Amino acid sequence: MTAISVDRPARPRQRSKPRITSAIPPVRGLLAVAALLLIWEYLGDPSSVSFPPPSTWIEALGERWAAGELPAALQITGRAFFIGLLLVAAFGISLGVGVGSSKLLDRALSPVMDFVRSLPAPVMVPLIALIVGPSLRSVIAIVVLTSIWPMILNASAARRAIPSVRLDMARSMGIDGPQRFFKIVLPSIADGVVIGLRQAVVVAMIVTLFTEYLGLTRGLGYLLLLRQQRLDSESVWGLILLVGLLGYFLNIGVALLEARVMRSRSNS
Amino acid sequence: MGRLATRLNWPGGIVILWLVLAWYGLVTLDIGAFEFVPSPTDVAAMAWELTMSGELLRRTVHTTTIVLITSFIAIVAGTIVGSIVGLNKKTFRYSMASVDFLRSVPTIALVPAALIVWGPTTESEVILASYAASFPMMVNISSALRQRDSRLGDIARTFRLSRQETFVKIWLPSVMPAALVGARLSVIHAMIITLLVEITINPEGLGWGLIRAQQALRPDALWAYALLIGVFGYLLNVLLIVGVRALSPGGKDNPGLIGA
Repeated sequence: MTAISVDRPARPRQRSKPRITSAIPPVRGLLAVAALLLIWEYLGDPSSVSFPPPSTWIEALGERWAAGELPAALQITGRAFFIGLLLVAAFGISLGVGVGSSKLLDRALSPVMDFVRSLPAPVMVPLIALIVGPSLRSVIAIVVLTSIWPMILNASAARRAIPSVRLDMARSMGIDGPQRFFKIVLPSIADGVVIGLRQAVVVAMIVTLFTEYLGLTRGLGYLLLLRQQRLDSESVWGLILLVGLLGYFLNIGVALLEARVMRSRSNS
Repeated sequence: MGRLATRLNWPGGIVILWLVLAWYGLVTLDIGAFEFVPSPTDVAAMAWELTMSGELLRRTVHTTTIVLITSFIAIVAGTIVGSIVGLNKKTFRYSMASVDFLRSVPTIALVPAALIVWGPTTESEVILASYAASFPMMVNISSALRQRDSRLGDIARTFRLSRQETFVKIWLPSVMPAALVGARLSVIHAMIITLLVEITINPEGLGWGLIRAQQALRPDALWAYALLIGVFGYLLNVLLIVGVRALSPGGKDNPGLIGA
């Protein structure tokens, strides 16, 4: 009996999934900024009022930390920013889903939402600040009122895009109320929510610092203003570097979250 | 009549009317603490007064001029830097994270440094707004060039085009949709930062009118400025969307017009 050799079909090469970290540019790309800072350090004049070298910034930040100003400012800014963002997510998603669920409601509210969206956030701050006054609660209210619009718009667009067959299936299976929201609607709008969150984070950061700069609370924005008024340029540049680093890592976090959500959507 | 009724957004109109009437009613009847919320008629009267006195026109001209200048600078600078970063893989790997880092610094944080270096001048306004507004253009151009079709490069080599000719005649037209979207975002950013700098340091333009009204506890003027700036921003956005769709190859049907 002739041995029959059966050629097994070649196993299709499994494409490796792109890593989530591919959502952010390579870290070695920070070499350009590092080089700029090194050149500044080399050419900078410690007695310069406008452009002191980076080493003086670190010293100044150390002094601000030792004096207790920096930890207090970070705490105030952090609280306003993160509490505001949490409320933006909660209210923004709820309102967005509500608006997106009804064509009539969407049509009725679109002109007003489009107009408010066109109003630059820095313009809304003095307006709301005059009504609510200076306090941490006021800053949180301002952050929410200015940053919620990208979340509402993206959540409502994502809600409108849910295929009706998915909602009909939920109805057929008797899934309604909170269960329907958490098991069907929320996973379906996840990509829109993350895009809205990404935009809201940028606005929330600018608004938080801006309200502090206007003196509503004593966070990082207020510390920047105070140091500028005292012509303490070393502290000013040091605080700019710190705020930049915080913003950079925040954006990386949101980009990774976005990549994770998109990846799980493409798997389903 | 039926088609007209469908095209006209009557639910939207009803909501706007309801909001204005509710605003008027609450303030006039003194329901709730509305010390700093003037009635719509007071706001309209103040807007009229600002228009007739010429103050609104003067401030609008200043803000519009700065927005146009800074947008132009931002679009040119963003195109140049975005092209350098996007055309070469190594340049991208060793610089894009730096662009992301610089872009992450909120412009409001740079205002105190600008005040120390350039003072409360139009110079600060132009520099800050141009800097911040260049990033959308930079990012759009660089990511569009990174995804360019290599066959276009073959066309350039076939026709023996020089590097400059390849860039101007092949690469730049190929990224036009992304460039137009980037340009639109840059103009919007330029407007926002211009207003921000006018509010904080430069005593000119619509932003300064707004903050001066707030500091003088003139809620009618404050609301008038805020609403007028909102109208300005809305009209600018509409003009830009129309312009982008008109200029893009293939018009509004161009699938590359993401975000436009």
